Amino acid sequence: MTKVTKSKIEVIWSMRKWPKEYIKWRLVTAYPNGWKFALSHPIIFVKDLWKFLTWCQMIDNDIEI
Amino acid sequence: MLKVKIKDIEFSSPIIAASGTFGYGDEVSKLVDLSKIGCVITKSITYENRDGNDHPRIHESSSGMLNSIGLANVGVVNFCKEKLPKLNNIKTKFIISIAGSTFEEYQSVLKTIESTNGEHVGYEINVSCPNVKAGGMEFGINHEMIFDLVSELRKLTNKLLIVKLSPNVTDIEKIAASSERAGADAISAINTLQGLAIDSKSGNFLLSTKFGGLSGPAIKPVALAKVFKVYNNVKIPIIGMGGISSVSDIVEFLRVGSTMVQIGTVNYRDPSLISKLYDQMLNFMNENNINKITDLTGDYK
Repeated sequence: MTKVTKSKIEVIWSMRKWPKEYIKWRLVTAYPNGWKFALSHPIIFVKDLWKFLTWCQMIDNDIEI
Repeated sequence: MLKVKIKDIEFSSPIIAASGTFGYGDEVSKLVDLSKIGCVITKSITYENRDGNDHPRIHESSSGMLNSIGLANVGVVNFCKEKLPKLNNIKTKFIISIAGSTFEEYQSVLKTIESTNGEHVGYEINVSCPNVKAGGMEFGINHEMIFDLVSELRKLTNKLLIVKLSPNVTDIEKIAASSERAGADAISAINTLQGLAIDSKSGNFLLSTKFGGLSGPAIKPVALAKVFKVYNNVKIPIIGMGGISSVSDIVEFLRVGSTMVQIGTVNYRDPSLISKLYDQMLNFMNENNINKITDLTGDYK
């Protein structure tokens, strides 16, 4: 079992400096219409965000920085 | 100390940002010290703009990520109009990734970009995207088609021509050798491995396209093996990639034959990771009395 060392709040906090252009690009990467898809499908977006934050908690174990 | 050269182009660092993980380059310029990144490779550009595949197209997996984004991009005309002027001002070198479904599309994309005033130092030819119905993958698995494609593109540019290879083949070294014979200046290896994810309870596939490309730390041993095979079959430089997330990973890729390395999936967790790796790589070299990063290339026993 992979050990989680950061809470989801800490993961979000670590992303606080992400510029809006970058977040917009990430949404375009994830969804066919970018932020428009995210806004029109809020439940899907929240579920995806939760999965992504969980993944960040796990992948931090692989990143030796 | 970290400087490397491919053909006549000198890069300040061997650590570069992989295509599709850093946007078009300008989105991260406020967040990352780009002077510590050897080069940024843009998202792959096709002739027409593409929305990509339907949702869901990203699935986070153990120590990796499965994606079937499907080459979502703004198209070459919009790229040259909107993105290229911004890229010309970023504080590092950049390479443009190009993709297509036919010979003609690759040629048209490259010709269109060549006709602009781009400051890019080269092109990465994406012949290995597994996530489009008709796409580069057909080229990526056939060494004769690769030879023809690279030969044609070579006639159109004097800039660096880098061929990004798929691991989803029997003999990656044969395809690398064909690229070299056709005039490629370097090989990028490897693109994603084909994968699939399914929900154990519902039986639903977790990507709209069923299959996707697996990347991240999970594929590192496969990537190291492929780079090593390519290194022993070509003389042109190799840009190694596949699951790199630490300085020790970088050194491993250099030792099996890479001249440079690309950081990909972990950029999704922290886009500033590359500049941190630059600092740590310098520390590693000082601690181990290594004067030139190139001394590590192919240094295995």
